[in-house]
Amino acid sequence: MRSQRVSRVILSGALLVVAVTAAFLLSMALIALTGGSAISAASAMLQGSVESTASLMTSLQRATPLLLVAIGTVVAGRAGLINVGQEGQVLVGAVAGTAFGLYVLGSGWPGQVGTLLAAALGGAVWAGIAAVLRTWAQVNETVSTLLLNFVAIQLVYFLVSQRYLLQAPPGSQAISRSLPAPDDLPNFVQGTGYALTSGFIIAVLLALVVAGLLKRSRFGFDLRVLGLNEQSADTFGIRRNRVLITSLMFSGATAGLAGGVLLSVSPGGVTPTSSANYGWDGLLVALVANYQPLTIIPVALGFGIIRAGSDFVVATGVNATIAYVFEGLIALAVLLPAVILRRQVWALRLAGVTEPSAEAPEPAQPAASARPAASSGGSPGVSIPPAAAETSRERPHA
Amino acid sequence: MRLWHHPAGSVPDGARAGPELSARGLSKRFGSVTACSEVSLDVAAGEIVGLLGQNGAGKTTLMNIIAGVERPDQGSVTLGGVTLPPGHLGAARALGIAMVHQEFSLIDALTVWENVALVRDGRLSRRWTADRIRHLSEAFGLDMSVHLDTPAGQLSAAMRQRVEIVKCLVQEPRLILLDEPTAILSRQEASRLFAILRRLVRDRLASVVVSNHRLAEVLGSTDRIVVLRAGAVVADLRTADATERELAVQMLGSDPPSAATEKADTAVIVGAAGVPAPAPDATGESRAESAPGAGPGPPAGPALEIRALRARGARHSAALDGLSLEVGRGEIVGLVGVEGNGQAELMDILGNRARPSSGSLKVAGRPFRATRGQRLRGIGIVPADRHRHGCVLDMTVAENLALGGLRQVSYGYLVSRARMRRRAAALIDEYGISCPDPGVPLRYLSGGHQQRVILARELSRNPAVLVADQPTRGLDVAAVEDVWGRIRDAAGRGTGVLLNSSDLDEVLRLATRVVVIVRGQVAGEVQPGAVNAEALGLLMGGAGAQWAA
Repeated sequence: MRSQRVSRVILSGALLVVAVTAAFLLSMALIALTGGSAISAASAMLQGSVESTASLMTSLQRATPLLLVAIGTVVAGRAGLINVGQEGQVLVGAVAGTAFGLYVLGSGWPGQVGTLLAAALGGAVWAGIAAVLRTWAQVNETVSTLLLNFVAIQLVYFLVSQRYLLQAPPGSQAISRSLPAPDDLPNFVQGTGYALTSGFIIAVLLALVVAGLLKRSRFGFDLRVLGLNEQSADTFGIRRNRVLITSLMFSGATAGLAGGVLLSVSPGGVTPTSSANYGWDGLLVALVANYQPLTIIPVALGFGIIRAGSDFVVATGVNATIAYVFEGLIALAVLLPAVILRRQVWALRLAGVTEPSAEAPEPAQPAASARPAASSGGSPGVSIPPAAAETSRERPHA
Repeated sequence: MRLWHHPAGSVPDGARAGPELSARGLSKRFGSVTACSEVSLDVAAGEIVGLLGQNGAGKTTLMNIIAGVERPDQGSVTLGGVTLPPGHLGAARALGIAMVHQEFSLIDALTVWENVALVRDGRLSRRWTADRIRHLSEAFGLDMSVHLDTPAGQLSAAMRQRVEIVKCLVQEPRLILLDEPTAILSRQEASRLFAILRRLVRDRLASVVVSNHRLAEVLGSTDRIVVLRAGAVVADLRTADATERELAVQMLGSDPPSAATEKADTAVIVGAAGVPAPAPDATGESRAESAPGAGPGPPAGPALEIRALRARGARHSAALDGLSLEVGRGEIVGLVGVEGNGQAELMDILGNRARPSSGSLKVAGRPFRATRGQRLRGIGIVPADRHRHGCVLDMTVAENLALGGLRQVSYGYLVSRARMRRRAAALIDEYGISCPDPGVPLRYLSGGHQQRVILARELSRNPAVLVADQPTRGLDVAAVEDVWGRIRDAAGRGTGVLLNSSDLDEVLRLATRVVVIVRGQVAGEVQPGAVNAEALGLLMGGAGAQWAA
C-alpha cells in the first residue's frame, strides 16, 4: 500500500514536469507563430515574475487576492457547496470597500481596515443571497452564484455611472472616484521599497487558521460531514442551514476581501471589470489544490508568478491573448496529472469496494465517488463548470 | 401462451446437447483481492441455480462476469453453445442474458414506462411499452398496480424491484441473473418472486441463476445449489439432497454459529413481553447499574411512548394514521408489516429525517421536540440505509464513532484528536470491530463491520431506546449473529429496542413482543412464541393492507 502511494507520488511528479514543459513549449511555439520572439518572451516571463526581488514582490502581490478567494472556495467546497460566484463577489467587495472609503472613513489606518471589512461584508452579503436562496427555496447554489456574477457587473456599472453615487468627476464614464488615500496596506518590509503588502501575510495566516479550524473545530467537523454526506446531517443533529449559510457567506467574505485588497493594489477607481478575473482564477486555485486548505498557498503563489510574468510579457509587445492562453495551458498542465491519477485511484477504489461489501446495499454517493481515495479528507469532488471555464478564458483587458 | 420466441434450450443451428450456460475457469482479481478463482458453473436449460455464499464470497462478481459487466482475468462463458466476448455487456444482452442487480439500476427521474423502455433499443413508445408491461404482469401474476407515469424515484423498494423484473422480462431473456433479489422483500413478496421464477423455468422460457445468503430461501426456491466461499466453488449439489446445516457448514467453512441453522419457523422466545431478557454475558450486571436514559435524575415512564402519531405519506406508502406504540425498558418490540404501511415514515420521524403532523413522542418520559438540527436525546438510531443516514463513508472510523456526540471528544470548541482516538480504540476493542487503525476511512471496512461501528456509536451513549431499522440487512451470518447479540445485550441492560425488520425470522427470533402495522396504525400484537412466521405473514397481508393504497 505504502509503496503504491510512493510510486504514485513519483508518477504524479513526473507527469507534472512533462505536462508543464509541454505547456511551456506550446506557448513559446504560439508566440513564435504569431510573429513574436519566443526567447525574449520567455526571458520577459522570468524577468517579470521571479528574477528580481521586485518582480518576486509583484508575484506575491498578485497571489494575495487569489489566495483569499481560494480560502473561501475551499470552505464552501468542503461543505459540499459549489460556489462559482467569486468574480462577482470580488467586484461587489471592491465597490463596497470604495463606498465605505468615500462616504464613511477613507484615510488613515482605521479607514484602511474599515475599507477591507466593508469589502468582506459586501462579498458576504452577495454570496448570502445565494445562500438564502439555497436554504429557503432549494435553488442550486452553483446556478445562483454563477448568475449573480452577471448581476454584480450590472450593479457595479450602475453604481459607478451615477454622479450622485460613486461616479468619478466629469468626462469619465463608468468609473468610480478614487479612494482619498490610495496608499498601500502597512508595508512590513519598510525600507526595502518593495510593495510586499501585508495582505499576503494576512492571507497566509487566514489560510492556516482556516485549515486548522476545518480539521479541528466542531464546526469544521460538522461542515465536513455535511460535505461528504449531506443526508446524514439530520441523524447527527447537524444544523444544516446554519452550516450552509455560514460557509457560503464566508466564501463570499474572503472573495470580497480580495476585492478590497485589489483597491490598494491597483488604485484609480472601481470599474465593472475591476475584479480582473481574480475570482475565476482563485476558484481555479482551489480546484487545482483539490480543495486542500494548505495546498492552496503554494498553488496561489504559482498562479501569482504566472500572472506577474505574463503581465510583463505583454509589456514586451506580445499579443495579450497569448499570455492568457499561456496561463490557461499551465493551469491545464497542473490539473492533468491529478485527473489521470484520480482515474487510477477510482479504479483501485472501485475494486476495493466491490469485494468487502459487495452484498451490502451501497447507495450512490455522488459527492464521495468523485473524491480521490488516497487523501482521507479530500475534496467534495468538484469539477469546473463549463461556463466558468469558458468565461475565464475571455479575459477582459485589465 | 407463448411469451417470447427464443426459449431456453433452443439451439440456433442444429441439435446440441449440453448445458445452457457454461462458465469455465473464471478468475477475477481486484488489486490484491481475489474475487473469483477458477470458478466453473453450468446451468441446464430450465433450471434454477442458487448461488449461496457470505458477503464477499464472489457471488456478485461471478454474475457480473456472466452478464458482461465485468471482464474476467481468465476463463470463458458460453450460452447455448455461443462463446461470449468477455466483458461485453451488449453482446451478453443480445444473446439473451438479463441481470437484476442488487442495487437497482432504475433511473429515478424517469417514469416507470420510460425505465422499462430503456432496455429496448430505439423503441420509445409508451403504448407498446405499456402493453408489454400489462401483458407480462398478467402472464406472471406480477402486481404492477402503479401508474406508469410515476417517476421511479417515488416507488417503494418492493415496487422498484417489480419494475426491475419487468425490465428484465421485456428483454425476453433466456438466462436471468438475480443478485440478492429478496434482500429487501417481505416473505410474501419473496415467495411471489420465486413463483415467477418457477413459472419462467417451467415453461422453458429461461434459466435462472439467483444469489442469496438466506439458507431457507435458497432451499425452498432452487433446483441446484452452488456454494461459493472466498471466490471458489466449494459445493455443487441438488437442492433436494441438501440440508440447511450442511449448506451453512459449506458456506462458512466451519461449524456455523447457532443462528445460521436454527429454523425460524420454531420461533425462539427471547423473553416474555415486558420482562427484560437477561444479558447472556456476566458483564451485564455491572452495566445494568449505569441506568440508561442518559439524563439527570431517575428516568420515568417507558423507554419510548408514541401517542396518536400522524404523518403525511411520502412516496406511495400509507401515512401514519394515529399510531400509538409503547416500548418498555428492556423490551424488544418488533415492528412488522407489509412494506409501505407506515414503517418508513415512523422510522424517518424517529431518525429525525421527517416531522409528524400531529401526535406526541416521549423518550424515557421526556417529550421530545423533533426539530431539525437537534439530535434526539436518549434515542439511538440504526438506520436502514446505513450508508446514507448512519455514517460518513469517507471519514475515518474514529470520526464516525464520534459523529453526533462531538462534545464527548472535544475540549471546548476544539475536537481533540487524542480523545477521539482513545474513545475509538476502546469501542473498536469492545465491539470487535475489525480495522487496522481507527484512522482508516470507514469505506474500507466490510459491511458487517461498518454496521458494528454504527451500533457501537449508538449503544455507547447508553440510549433509553434504540431504534434498529433493518439492522442486519445485507450482512453475513457472523455479522448478523453479532448484531443480534448486541441488541439483546442492550435490552438486557434496560434499553428499550424498537426493531423494524422485513425479515420475519429476525423479528421472531429477537422480539419480546411483535406489533403488526397496517395502514399506519397498529393492527395487532402477537407474542413471538405463539405464532409462526407463515401465520404472522398472513396476518400482515390478510388485514387488508396493500402497498398501492
